[in-house]
Amino acid sequence: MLIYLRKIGYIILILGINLYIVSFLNNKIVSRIELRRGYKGYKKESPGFPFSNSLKYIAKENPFSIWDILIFVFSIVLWSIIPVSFNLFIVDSSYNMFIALILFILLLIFKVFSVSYSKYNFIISDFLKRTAQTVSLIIPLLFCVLSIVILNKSLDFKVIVNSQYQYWNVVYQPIGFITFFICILLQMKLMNLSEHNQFLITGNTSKEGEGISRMVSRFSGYLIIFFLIVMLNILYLGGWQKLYMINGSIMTGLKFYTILIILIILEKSVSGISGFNKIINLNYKLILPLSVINLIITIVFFILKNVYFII
Amino acid sequence: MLRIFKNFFINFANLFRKPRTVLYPREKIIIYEGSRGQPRLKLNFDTLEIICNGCGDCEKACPQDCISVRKEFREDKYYLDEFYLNLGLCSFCGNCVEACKFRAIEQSYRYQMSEYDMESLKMEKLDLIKQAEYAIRDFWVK
Repeated sequence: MLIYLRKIGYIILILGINLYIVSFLNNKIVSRIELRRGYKGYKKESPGFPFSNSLKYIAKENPFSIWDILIFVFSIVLWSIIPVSFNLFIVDSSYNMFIALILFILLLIFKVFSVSYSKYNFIISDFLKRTAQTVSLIIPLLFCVLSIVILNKSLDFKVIVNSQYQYWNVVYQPIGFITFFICILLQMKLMNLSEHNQFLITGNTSKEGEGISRMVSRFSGYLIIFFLIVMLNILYLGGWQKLYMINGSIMTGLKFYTILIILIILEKSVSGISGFNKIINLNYKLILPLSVINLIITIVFFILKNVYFII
Repeated sequence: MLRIFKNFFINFANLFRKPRTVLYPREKIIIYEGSRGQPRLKLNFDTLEIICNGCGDCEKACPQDCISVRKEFREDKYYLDEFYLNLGLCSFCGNCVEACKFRAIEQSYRYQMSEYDMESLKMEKLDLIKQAEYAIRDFWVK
């Protein structure tokens, strides 16, 4: 029991620290890209701004719905299944990935419900548009995961990571990696974490108004991006496998932050993709065909190897 | 696709560039040469008298009607008697400087001019002469 409690403590601590650092980094990098200073303070004061911003959210009076509570709970529960490091997980099951993906999809659905519920008109607005966007992003992502599962013949994160001891899965599935990466990028655009995408008004997944519900929305947005990056790391980049003399946990952190910084810069670089129709078009014309091609190639190789024993 | 890569490298390079914005009250803005600040009356360095003779060309040229000039006739010559400038109305267009034949008016580099009441923004002849120290640009450079 104590071990579990300690693990829960570690996971919450790691999540909290990383959330703080990433929210600071996100603001700083976005502002430096635009040649601004960001967080309007001096060097000494600026690290305190994420904390003061969170206080600002709490101070505003705004009622929150049942969906916000569900989002908050699910975005934390998600981390009990996905392993951050080789021993940092609470539920150890051979169907880890299956449960994690179901929780992730549920979280996205709750997020769509929460965002669609408007305080001002008391009806569910733009629900279909938002659902179409999220679904169009989930389908190619699931195809990528499926091809990895076929490749490694397992739904367990541990097995998938251990099978990459020699070569990472990027070597076998570069198309899948690119597709997954673009999916995360678009998901990041939908979350609108940099708060500068004013054109993406209809169909985005950021909450209107100020208050606790908005804070929960941003919190879950960050955790969804974390989840996807950790998934990318585990599925394609070797997870917590150690590289030469570098420790596995350090390698995870290094990879996580490298991917995150590249994603933040890319999100600002791809400024043309803004708006409901463009994201849907990009999904169904580029990402979905790529993921399907990747899946077909994987299945063909699987059949050739395991049924006909050619390769 | 190439444009995305180009944008990516430009954005990445921007991380290491100096920010363009300034934290204004804490840091002073670097004023560029030829920028238009508060107008001032110039003195003749030999005689230490005002060059302006009160012809009123600047008053006619002012689009905001913020200048009013009064001249007086003494010893077969016109002299400047009174010169009023309302900075609350002035748009710092520089028409008065261009209109002056004697080059008696100049725009200094002074830009921090906020006051608590409108009356203190109305300047007289002596106030405008006292602005000489703001004519040097390096005074405001950080």
